Amino acid sequence: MTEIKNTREGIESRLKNLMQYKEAALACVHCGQCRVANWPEKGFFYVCPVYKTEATPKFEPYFARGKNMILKGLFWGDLELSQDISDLIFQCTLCGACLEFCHNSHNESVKFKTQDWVDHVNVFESLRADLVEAGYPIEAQVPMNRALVELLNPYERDNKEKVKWIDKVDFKVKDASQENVEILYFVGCTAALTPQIENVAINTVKILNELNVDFGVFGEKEVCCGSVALRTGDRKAFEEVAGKNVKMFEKSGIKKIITSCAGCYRTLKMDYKDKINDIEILHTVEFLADLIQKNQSKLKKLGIKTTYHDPCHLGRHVGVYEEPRVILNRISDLIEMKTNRETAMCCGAGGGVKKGFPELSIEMAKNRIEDALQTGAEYLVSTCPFCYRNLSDAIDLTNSDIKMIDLTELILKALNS
Amino acid sequence: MEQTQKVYEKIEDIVGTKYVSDSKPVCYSYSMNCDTVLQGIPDVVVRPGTSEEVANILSLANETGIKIIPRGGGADLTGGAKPIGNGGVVIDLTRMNSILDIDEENLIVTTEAGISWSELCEQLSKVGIGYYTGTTGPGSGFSATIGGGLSNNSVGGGGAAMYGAVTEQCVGLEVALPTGELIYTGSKANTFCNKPFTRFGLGPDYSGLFLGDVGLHGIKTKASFRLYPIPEYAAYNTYEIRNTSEIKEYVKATNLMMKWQNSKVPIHDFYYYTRKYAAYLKGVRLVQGWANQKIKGSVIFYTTVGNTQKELDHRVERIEKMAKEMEIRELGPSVEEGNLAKWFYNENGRWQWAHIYWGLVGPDTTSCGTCLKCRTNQLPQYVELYEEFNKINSKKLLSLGNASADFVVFGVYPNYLDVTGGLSFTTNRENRALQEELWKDLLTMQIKELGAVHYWMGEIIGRVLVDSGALTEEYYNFMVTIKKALDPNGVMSPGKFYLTENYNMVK
Repeated sequence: MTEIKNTREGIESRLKNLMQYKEAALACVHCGQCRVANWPEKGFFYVCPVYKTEATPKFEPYFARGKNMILKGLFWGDLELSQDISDLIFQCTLCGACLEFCHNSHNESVKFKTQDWVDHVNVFESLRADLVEAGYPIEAQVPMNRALVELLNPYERDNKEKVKWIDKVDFKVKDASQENVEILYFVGCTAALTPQIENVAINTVKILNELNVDFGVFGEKEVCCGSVALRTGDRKAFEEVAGKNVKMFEKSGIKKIITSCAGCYRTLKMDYKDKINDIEILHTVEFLADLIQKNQSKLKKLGIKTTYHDPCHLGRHVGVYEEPRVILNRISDLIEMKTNRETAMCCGAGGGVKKGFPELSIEMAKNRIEDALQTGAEYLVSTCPFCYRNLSDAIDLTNSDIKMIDLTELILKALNS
Repeated sequence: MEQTQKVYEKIEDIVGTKYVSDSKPVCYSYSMNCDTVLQGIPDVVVRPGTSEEVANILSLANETGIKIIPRGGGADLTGGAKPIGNGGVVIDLTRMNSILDIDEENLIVTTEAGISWSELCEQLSKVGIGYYTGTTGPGSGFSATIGGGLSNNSVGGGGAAMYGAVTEQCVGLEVALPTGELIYTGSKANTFCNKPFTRFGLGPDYSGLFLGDVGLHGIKTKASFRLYPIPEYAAYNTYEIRNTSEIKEYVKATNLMMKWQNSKVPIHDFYYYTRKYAAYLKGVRLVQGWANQKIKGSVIFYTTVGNTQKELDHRVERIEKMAKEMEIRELGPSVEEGNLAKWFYNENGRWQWAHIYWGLVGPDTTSCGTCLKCRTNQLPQYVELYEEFNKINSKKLLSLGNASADFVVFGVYPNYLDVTGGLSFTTNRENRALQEELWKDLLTMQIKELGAVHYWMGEIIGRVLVDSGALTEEYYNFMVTIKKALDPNGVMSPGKFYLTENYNMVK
């Protein structure tokens, strides 16, 4: 590797991704409230879900302040990008809970200017990109990102398998790449390629069909949105798949994309912002909440107790909190977990943690299951196949007496009952 | 460095491999506290899980001469929870975060020292009728630990006007001495007394040796505190103090605060913002709608509590009568109308919030704390001192990006004030020398001109106290003698107050 000297120019060229967020990166005043703050008035009971587990040694870099100290060290030339830094920076799901607490953002009457410039998620993601570009990726994540480019999905599977779930549907699902549709249902790799979770896709199309929505899917041509590459610092891989997606979207002439995956949703909505014009991006819950309002008589109460896990990519990253609750309140008795909405604890799957640090990931999920069990609900509901998968794993491992379910499954039951 | 590496494996033997690190980025992340001016990178960081492990690390330090720096939540404002200079072993105590005993009959809680104040209060709120520690810790209580608060004699969390500094509530400690022995102080020092309840009765108050000691005399591993039921009823109000003469505003505010304190009517918290500060908050539109209010003077607010409505009403009547006698303007009932007290008590949950002003200045800002305690009647002099400091250093401050020294004031039980504030700079490290110079200058002015009593001694304030000649030779010798007796090898927090450097002063 070419040696870049520790001059201002050298540092800036090494940190070229991070430089875009320099202001945000230097915003930390080291108060440390992002570690364990308990603030019942605002619904915070602990802040960092990584720090809450015992899976790491919990030194400072295992929560946001320590990472920010490292950032300063890099900016000041005291530290060099290294594998040691990668191993610390990547042990974070980028859930954004620290950002919610930073400088006490939750104030109805008081507006702290800090809220305008802190941005932990983008800062840490940018540092990951610089680390990967400097040759310090997390080894376990490399094949995933390679597969993304070569096979168009991160699961290292033949993309043709993405149509298997369609065989289990007894009506025709249009091919949006061939047929003229305005609405694309973007299935996402996890639901399309994971047999235990394919019901998310099946249920989604059944609901759409039930509600007479004209839509199509890309099937085996569907390209991963690139979320995992972006979160794990491989921006080259992301750009490659994003470019393919944009071309497909444009060619097909779709006007609206709906997806039942919070990760795809966040990526298409936020990270494709400058790449696609005039295409509305909606999570299924947003789309359905509106449709269901219009078809209220069709939804029946299921007589069950549910609790809802806010996926970070849907909630904190984009701000969709109420739509799933509107639906759940209509069809079930919704009991909130102690941390919910902005303060919800992460399931542990995101940010490449499930692939890179599976032990940490499952410990985080176990903590979330504990939260869910405290509500006494029968069903733990989510709107993200990735959360579903990790939380299901934790339920199995702990033999917990709660059932994991995607909101689409409950909606379908409520429509059919 | 070489010496420290030699003991790395021995530390691993004590705490296990998981909880010790000499990784460069890990150690770097322990090199600063809340400011970016003072920095010292340790060689090793360790997170012990028990008192015995802490004691064993200290024994090892005595055998090998490695230096030890204890650290709680790392929310220190004056460089106290990091090495002075590079090197040494930082002991991160946050792993020791269990509540050990809640004695509801005697209203005492005993906890490990690494738990944060907010975590402790949250747990206490769920017990029985719901309790808290009275004063909810330092202003940084969301992150600061019990041990850190006691080591700095901190004040600033909610409840300070009614319950005082955190040390006021302490009834005993478990301490790992610098030479590696574990002792109890307070009533539990009597081996036949199984419950802590008072600091006194077994000879001198040895708890006091470790309270406000900034980690000089030992490492607090456990602490016992008084508990208070969470009050059921609360009231609050905010006033504007306006006069054509700014100084008359300060005098009026001072008189009101003295009246409140000397009347002994229980006030949970009261705060005072100078005209400059109130204008600043209005200017940055911190409070929603406040910019539209005609607040031109300074602002004072209080919160009070009661266990019954009748008790509360009686307190409010007395507090407000004194306020009305001062002919000050009551602001409206909503936060938008200026009632910051409502936000503070109802919406914010009574946590002190001065620390979050740090983020007001800019995205690349560091704060250099000069928080101090003063007699209430000294407040106008402090206002003048800050103005004088800003005036004589205006060029230097301007060169640092329009920096200035600022403060807010709050009441502390029984009857003094906390002038909490300091200097805010950009983190540009090329300016570190000038930043440190100004920081020391402000501290020196406070100490020499007004006899300021700081807390957060950390690195810088303890040293400025010595440099400014505030400590008599006899007093300083006494400090060195005690330090040397407890820590003969000078392993604990070396450099603070220059004590270890001056061991040769005493036999």
